Amino acid sequence: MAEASGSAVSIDQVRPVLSIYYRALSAREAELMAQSRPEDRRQFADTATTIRLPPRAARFSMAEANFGWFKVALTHRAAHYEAGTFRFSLDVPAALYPDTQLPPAASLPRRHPDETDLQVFFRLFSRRALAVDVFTVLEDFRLDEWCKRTYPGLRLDFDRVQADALSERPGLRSMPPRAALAEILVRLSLGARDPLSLPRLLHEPVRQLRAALDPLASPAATVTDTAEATLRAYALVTRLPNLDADYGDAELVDPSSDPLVPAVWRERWPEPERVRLEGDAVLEATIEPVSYRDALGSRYTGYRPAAPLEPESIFRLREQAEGDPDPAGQRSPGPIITSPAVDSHDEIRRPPEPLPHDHPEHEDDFDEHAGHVHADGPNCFAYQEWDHRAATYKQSWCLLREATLPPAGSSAFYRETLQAYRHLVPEIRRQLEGFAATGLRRLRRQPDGEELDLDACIEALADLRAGLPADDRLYIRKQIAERDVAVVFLLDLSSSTADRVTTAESSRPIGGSTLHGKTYSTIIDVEKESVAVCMAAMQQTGDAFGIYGFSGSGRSDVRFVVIKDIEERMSQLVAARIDALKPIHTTRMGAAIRHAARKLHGHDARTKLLLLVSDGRPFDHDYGQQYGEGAEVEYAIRDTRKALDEARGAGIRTYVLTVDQGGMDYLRDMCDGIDYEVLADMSMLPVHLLNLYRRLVS
Amino acid sequence: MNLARGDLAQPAEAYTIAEQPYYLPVSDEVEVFEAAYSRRIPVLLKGPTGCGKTRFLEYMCWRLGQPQGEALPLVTITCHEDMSASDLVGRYLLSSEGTEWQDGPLTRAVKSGGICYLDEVVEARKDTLVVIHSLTDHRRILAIEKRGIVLRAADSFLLVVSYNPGYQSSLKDLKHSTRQRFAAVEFHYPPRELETRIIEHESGAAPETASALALIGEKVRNLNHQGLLEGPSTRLLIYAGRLAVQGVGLRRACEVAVVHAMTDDRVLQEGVTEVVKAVVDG
Repeated sequence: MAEASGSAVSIDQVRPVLSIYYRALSAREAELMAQSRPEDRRQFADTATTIRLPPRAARFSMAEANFGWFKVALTHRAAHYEAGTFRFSLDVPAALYPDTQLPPAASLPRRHPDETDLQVFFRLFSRRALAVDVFTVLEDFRLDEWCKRTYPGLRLDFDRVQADALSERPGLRSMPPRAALAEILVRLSLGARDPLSLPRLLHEPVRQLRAALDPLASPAATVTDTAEATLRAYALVTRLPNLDADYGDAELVDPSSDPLVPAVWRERWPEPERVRLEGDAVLEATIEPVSYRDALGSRYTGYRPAAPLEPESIFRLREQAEGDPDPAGQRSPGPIITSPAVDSHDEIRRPPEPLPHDHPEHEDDFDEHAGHVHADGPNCFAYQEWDHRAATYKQSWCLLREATLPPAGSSAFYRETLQAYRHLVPEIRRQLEGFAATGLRRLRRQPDGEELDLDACIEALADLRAGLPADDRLYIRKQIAERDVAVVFLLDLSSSTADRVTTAESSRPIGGSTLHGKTYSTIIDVEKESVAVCMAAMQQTGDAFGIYGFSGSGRSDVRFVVIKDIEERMSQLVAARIDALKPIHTTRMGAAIRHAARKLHGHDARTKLLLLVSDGRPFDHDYGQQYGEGAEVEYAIRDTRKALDEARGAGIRTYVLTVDQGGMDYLRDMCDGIDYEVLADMSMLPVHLLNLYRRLVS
Repeated sequence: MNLARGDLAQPAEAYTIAEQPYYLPVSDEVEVFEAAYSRRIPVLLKGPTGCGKTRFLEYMCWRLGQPQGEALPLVTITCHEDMSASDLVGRYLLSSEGTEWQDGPLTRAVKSGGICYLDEVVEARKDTLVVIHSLTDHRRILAIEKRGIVLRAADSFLLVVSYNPGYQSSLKDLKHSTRQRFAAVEFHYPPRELETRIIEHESGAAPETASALALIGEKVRNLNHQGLLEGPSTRLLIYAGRLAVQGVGLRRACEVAVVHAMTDDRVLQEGVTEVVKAVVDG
């Protein structure tokens, strides 16, 4: 696992393996993304479908240990699902705190019918931010202990990672008592039990804190127990002052020692709302996050942003009660709220307007988010799109318009190309026709064929001897039959096809450097030549074929260009269309593939083939961008892959050919289990495509 | 574990199960099958490979035979593409005196009674399978055209078929006219606690080992979506347990019996191995 530069491990290296690992543990899919500001520890916002981790783990001297850091981080996150953090219910009593501090569920009013129990719980506290932080630390402790028990193979890694996290904790000496106790809570959650040097004021609270936290290490602890522990820990923390002052000399206290007196919980829940004073911000205790753990503040209250909108959600969470009768629903411009965990400079950040995932370039009032498209004509089709983050299809999401290419002036392009490739086409055709000898199906018990079916013969002979008429199906036939093949070629016409093909002149099979009056070729030129060559070859073999191009601009405008429809007969008119091919815009592959598959559905053939030729990755303006920066790559790839899977499920064999040199990595993910190839030299496309076709149908 | 009684070689229809097979019910499949059998309703067992369908059937044969003091006979026919109707029903063989009729396994089962089990029924050609139609309806007869006779099934005869409707399975499917002659019971991998006991019993492994294997099974099966992976089957986990009992380290046993058995894809292998390493201490 070590990089060439040493023992550091990067998230890119481990993403494929750890994505599988995370999926196995949690039964959920999530995008593993690198944090964009790794030095800002508060920037851990995870959503239901994204996990942010530092781009590199380099804390330890062994690569294995650094890999283990990532593994621990992910195991912890999966544990939220496995151990029931989000299944918190006020109706389920705690198992391990007999003197329950939680008020009865019935006495806690719900502001809206769909408020989660966690939201109701957090409204018990007047310092909500602190309460969420305390709950986070305690739940993290419960989960880490759960992980160590459930996954004994990770115990050493957990111990190592926790010890490392402890070594990074801020010093206690400069902290006022409340902040110090909050910090000690974190250290206790990381397993620290060494004696601490603190003013006497803190001694009993430390012991009581440890006693309140301990039950969460038990196998019977549930998330309700965490809630109980939160009430107690919060009480202990808020009883302490948060002002800098001289509280006396520091003396040693052992957290593991028992409290001198049993704790008395005189708090009443819900806490009455405090009057906020100016300068209150100074008195808030903040908790420095632990690096390997996630920060789920907003998700504890059930808010599920589509993109990481952490500031907005925390804003909502911590709104003052009197400023807003409906905190979950509106964003009131009201009073200034301190949200210390959001911004380390203690600035106040209101949510930006508009929300970050708007697309100002789509100016019409086409709704990006509600989004059903409607097919409004004979050549319009609505297609679904696979949203891998939400693990569901978006129905009627893409509007595809099919249009036949108008013919260019003449079929000169076609003729000239064939002339240039003339030595190639008959060669390929000969090979295509000659495939009869190899690897065919043998049909037994046929009325005629090339070989005798011995089993059938013996049976027939026995029947004859027994006085019965013999069956006359005594032969084995090799199944050439009619070539029952239908092929669709699907070509990428995105604007990047206007790029030049960089290739040595001598490698062009046509020999000369000028063809069609140009001394260079663009990708689209090569694609056009391939189309011409394929048309000619397919003509000879007699297979049904269709040649189409696709591009578009946005999900409401996917263009599907018909060069030759599968049902159409080849003609001069069709040949004349080739020269009219031009680059269009973006590449929404998923919709194009689905439409191409539809073409093949409509055609009856035993063997159906879809050959996709592309020069770059699937990309469109609104093809995954709603999930944040960098998410559109995976989104588009997943939808493309899903479309290919759908085609395969319908009995269509798919094959992807690309010339994107950088395509090796993304294509691998997209085409795992599907045939694909990267063409080293785009100018070889015509030859390659024909060879490919030959291989696939023989 | 040879459950047959008597000689090593015996007529197919005489095969009965001598000892009670070990089977832990997952839900009500035992009661449902008993009810189906008592009304002679043919049954289709659906489920992934290695989840207990055959063992269940063996158990039911044993159990349903108890009132008579011995298990019901069980004739198993594994179906394949080249199977013809004569393979099932029988054919004339050449002999020194001329010809001799030989009953096929289906005919023998029909005559002797008991359960006739067509395993992987979807692999057989559809024109072969229509032979069984008359056995699955109220007629309970088998026509042997070449002999010009019609056999009435023995009273205890019942037809049971099985198949694996997995995602990656071939595009083969049963004809509806065949399919709708059976009551279907679906099988899935057992839940973790149950699977732990099964693994413990079948492999002889210690409870902690069996528990670890069941946990690995449960977690890796989360990858079954979208055709990434199928399994691991309970059978594979039992194999891993047996290897562990023989002294192979549990991590290595899982590598052999689970990881490499299920997939050749390197990334998937590594991902599954990481799960194994998390559950099993090195």
